[in-house]
Amino acid sequence: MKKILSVLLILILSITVLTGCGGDNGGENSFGDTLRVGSIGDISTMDPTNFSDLQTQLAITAVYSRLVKFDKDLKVIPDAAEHWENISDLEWGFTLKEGIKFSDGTDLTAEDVKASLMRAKTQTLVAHIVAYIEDVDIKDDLHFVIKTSKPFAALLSNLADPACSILPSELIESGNDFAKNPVGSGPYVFESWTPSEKAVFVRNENYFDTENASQFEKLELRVIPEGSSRTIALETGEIDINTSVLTSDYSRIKENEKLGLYETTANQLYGLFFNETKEPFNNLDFRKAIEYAVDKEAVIQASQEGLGERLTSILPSAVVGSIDAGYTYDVEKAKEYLQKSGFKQEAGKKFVIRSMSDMNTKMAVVIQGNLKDIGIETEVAQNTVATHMEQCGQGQFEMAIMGWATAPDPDRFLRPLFHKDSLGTNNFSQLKDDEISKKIDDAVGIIDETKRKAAYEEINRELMDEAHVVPITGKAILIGYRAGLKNVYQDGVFGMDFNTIRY
Amino acid sequence: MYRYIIKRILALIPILLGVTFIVYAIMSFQPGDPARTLLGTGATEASIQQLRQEMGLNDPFIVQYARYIWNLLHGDMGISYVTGNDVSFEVFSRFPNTVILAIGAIVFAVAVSIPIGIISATKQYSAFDNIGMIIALLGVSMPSFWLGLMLILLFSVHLGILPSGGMQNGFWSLILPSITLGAESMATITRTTRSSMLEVIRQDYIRTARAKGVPERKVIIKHSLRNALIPTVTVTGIEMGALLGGAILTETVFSWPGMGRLLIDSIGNQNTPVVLGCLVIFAICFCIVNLIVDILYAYIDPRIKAQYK
Repeated sequence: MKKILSVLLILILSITVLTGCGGDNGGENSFGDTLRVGSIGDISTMDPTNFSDLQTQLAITAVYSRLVKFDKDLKVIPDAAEHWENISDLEWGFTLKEGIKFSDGTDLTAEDVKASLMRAKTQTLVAHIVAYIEDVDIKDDLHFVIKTSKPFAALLSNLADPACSILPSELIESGNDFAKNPVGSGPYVFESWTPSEKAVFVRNENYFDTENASQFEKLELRVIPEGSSRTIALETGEIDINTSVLTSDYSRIKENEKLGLYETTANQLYGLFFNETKEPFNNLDFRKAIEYAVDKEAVIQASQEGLGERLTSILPSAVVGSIDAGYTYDVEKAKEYLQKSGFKQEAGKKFVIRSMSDMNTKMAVVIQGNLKDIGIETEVAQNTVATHMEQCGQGQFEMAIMGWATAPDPDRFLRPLFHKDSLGTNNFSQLKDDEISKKIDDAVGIIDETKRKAAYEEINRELMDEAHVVPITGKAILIGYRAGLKNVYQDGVFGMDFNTIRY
Repeated sequence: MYRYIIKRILALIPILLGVTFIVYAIMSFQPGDPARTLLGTGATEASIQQLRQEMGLNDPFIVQYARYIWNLLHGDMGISYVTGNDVSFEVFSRFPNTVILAIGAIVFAVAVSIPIGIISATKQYSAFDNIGMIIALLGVSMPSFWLGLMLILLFSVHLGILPSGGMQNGFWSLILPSITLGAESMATITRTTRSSMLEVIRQDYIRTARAKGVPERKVIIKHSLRNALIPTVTVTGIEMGALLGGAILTETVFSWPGMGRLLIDSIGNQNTPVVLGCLVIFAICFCIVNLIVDILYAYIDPRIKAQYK
């Protein structure tokens, strides 16, 4: 008995001594020399032309510069380029900032820009982003002209894509493996990567934008895949920023005085798509019935705790051409359209709503209830991402919840989703409309902002009038951070400038 | 003994062939296109087909499988579809972390379960026995995901004495994940130890030892435990094998950079080379652990050692 009591006493004393051993919290409002960022996944590569995940994007934009980038409102602002102008329909003149150096000490010149863009054209994953860039005509080290194969108003938006990161031309020629040996001109320099654990970057002491040089010596991207664990790590001070706060943790972080929360909506379309090769989804009145039947507020509440922009058309509000298509939640109107369509619910027959994530499934379940209210029976089926994309791309579905996030360029939404050339890939509705395809092709070449806006509004309205998709919301972006940090934000395409964060 | 060991190692070959064939077949025939998944939503049909050609995905299944086995025999586990890194790099950079976690879990499980099992058996139907069995029941009933989060809330958030995840804090980082992962094994080993001890301490020779006046501690430790250990060693070996491959939830909750998460992510991405790489390693580990268990039998029970001669 005495022995047991002695052991217990030793354990209790040990626990008391151990207090404070648990974390590397720098204190309530004090920060160390490392900005610790908790991320949902691991980086996959440091090659800017060979990735498609958002975690890698954070690392890429920390290490590399582009000609231009987005601010938090998705407006194009200068990065390595100081100035640009649209010289003609097919030509854009650029001037680089003086004195930009890569992390290996070499100067960044127009030659590097050309080599990087031409390299991107050969990379399968990103070639479509630079497809319209035909050539780069170099005037001198700082001046060059980008020539496009057709008038392309979205050039700047595409140049802001991390795929257009500027790499040293000499290293490109020598066949450098940028995945393992990244050399850029961004605010940080890659230091190390421990798979599934963390990636570490150090401040680039030669960063050209001295005003926005990082206050922290190091940046650490830590992998914390579980949402609750990320929130807990933030609360205990083990990380300084949580780049992906669960909507279910919204109130918990909002009400915590030691934490701050940045919120916005992704530049994204989450919607209910129809396979219009199958009956009755080829019936306009049937589709319109569903447009009026879906209670978008309820869907957003169920899937994102009410957070996220309610979409009124295919193009989110940050994208040129966004409109209010006028569909409201109106059960009576929905029933009217359903009756007009001639649809009769067969006994035992249920349409399948496909989804590929828990969030999608929550949306689908609410929609299932909405459709039941007007007399349409459905069931919900969740698949893996790969299976879902394959089935939807190949038209093996009836209805599906799909998400589409991309740059704030209307062409990057409309072309993949509705152009006839996208059949078999992302044209989920299986639309073979020559007229719409031509309008999309024509609109991409309109440089005048006013005419461009009108053209895209027209296409958007036409697609919405035909009820090809029920647009619902974009993903709520919630960034949690330790109070004391300033300038923490994420733009609508999930980009973050860690170097501008201050304490 | 050595011939026996070599025979067991050679038996790995048909096992690995069977595992790889079944997994390759399942991955190949499930819906979804790895090229489409890799390229993402911006892909054109032309780029998807080009990537499929580059990856060799348009070849017949048997050709792809034969190519994989040929490369594997030459030590090449292939390239990850997602990162483009060697699969061997992807797997072996995480494998030590999985082993560390599995060892931590089994050490916790054994350290707790064997004493509880012994005392429960020697004091059958006592309060200690009942409490011990309740603990065992809780260990097997509680979802590891929930247990992990509760431990984090208690020790990391409220007490602040242990880290909530990652490996940054060395040994301290290992404590909570080991308890979480080891809880279910602890339950199984406790019950096995208790039941085998109960069987042994009822044997005639134990009664004889007590009748001769041998101290109770010696009766239990020297005479009973060694004979009761065989089922315990068997179960521990099976549990160890399972722990090596089944730590996915624990790795996710504690952000532990192991192979479990890599495997799950790769299945979702249809990253077949990485899935196969992980499963080949798991299969080898499972077989080796079972071999070690069989060898340990010989040292625990001389009757078994005689069979190997």
